[in-house]
Amino acid sequence: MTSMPSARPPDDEDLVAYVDNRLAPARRTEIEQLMREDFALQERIAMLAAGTPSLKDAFRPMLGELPPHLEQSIRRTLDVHADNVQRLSRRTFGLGLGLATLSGGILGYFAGRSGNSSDTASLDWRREVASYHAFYGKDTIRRLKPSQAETDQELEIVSDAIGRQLKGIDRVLNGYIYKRAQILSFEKAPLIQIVFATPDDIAIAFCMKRSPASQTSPTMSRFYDLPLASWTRDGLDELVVAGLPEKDILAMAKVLSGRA
Amino acid sequence: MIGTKKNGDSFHTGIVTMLPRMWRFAVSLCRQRALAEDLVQQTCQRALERRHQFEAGSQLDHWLFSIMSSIWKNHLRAEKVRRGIGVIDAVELWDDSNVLALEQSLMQSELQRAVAELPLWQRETIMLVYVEEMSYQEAATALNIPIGTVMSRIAAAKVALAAKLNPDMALARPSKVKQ
Repeated sequence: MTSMPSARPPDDEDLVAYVDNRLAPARRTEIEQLMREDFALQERIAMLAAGTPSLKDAFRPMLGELPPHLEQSIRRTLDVHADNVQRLSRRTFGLGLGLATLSGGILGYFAGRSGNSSDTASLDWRREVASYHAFYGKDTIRRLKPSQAETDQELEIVSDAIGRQLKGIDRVLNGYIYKRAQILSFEKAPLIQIVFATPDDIAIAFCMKRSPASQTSPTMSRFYDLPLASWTRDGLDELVVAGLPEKDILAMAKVLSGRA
Repeated sequence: MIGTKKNGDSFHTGIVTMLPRMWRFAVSLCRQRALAEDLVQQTCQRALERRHQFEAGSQLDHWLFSIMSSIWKNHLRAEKVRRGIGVIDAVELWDDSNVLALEQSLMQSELQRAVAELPLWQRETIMLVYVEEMSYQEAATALNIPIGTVMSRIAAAKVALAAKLNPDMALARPSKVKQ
């Protein structure tokens, strides 16, 4: 290193930037001069350079692995939202994300999201849930096969979150298969979503959130072309929504609301 | 033209065009197929909710990657807290190796697997810079970190990758390693 006695010894950040050709010209020159006399430095650069060119190639095949059902689901949702962009852009608070794993019965709780507007009065939780539900694809639901222990654990967690005992709810709807329970959020409060499926993997969402409203019986409505039944019971707003005939939704609502 | 109901809506069209890249980035973050699907869906949902925050003329792909990274980290944070393994140190926080196992079948090549085995804070940076071809500054903006942090993450990641893929080369003397 006699030729550049004042040059700062390069660290790996310098060397990576050098390899990536993103180093300032003066520093680049310094390193090249150091390299001429430092074999170890040459080796280090060679090591840091190895593999980089092939990273893009290595991950290119993944571009073709987007699940078709996922693309279809998102395209459908974008279509649904196309007429509602203004409304969505004014939303103060929407549904949060609950990511669930297949194996661990893990629930994600994304409470505490905040928005920018004060336009909360126009929000209809039924519409927001239906919007969220429009994302569901058959293949996603098909893969969810929780064990009874995982089911019980999920339901215990969501029961604690909403303040109602939901253990056993997985066996209430005859002919439908329990898939998962998640804690979502709506207007900074927990919103519980319990997903069932038909034998051919059509998703059904049973949702609830706390409410000061009085008791009501199930009534039908439709959002994003999805039939939805909603009611209020024991301090909770509840609904069931699915891409199924209205009579099936109403029948489920009667069972879930204890009016069957 | 990639169609949505209103073909003139470039925002929606842009999201659809981005789906394959969003999928790839989601897989690299989650390392599990079902979670990656959820993450792509939620990123789209969040983008729709916050469309008003997207600045016309800026790069939609960078914005979507930023949203996706943020959603995923929030999930990991919540998950660690729920499991009682939440930690303060930022690097540890984003080390997801003790939270979710790698779904091996998702990674077809040795290099894919080597990247997937890096801690989150390294692999998301590697993916954005080398696979998505962002500049260091663009990656820093997308991840909301200083550019120096991007560089140190890349350096650490490349040393780790070399150790996995070319262990003999990785023995080369560190110059002044700062990881």
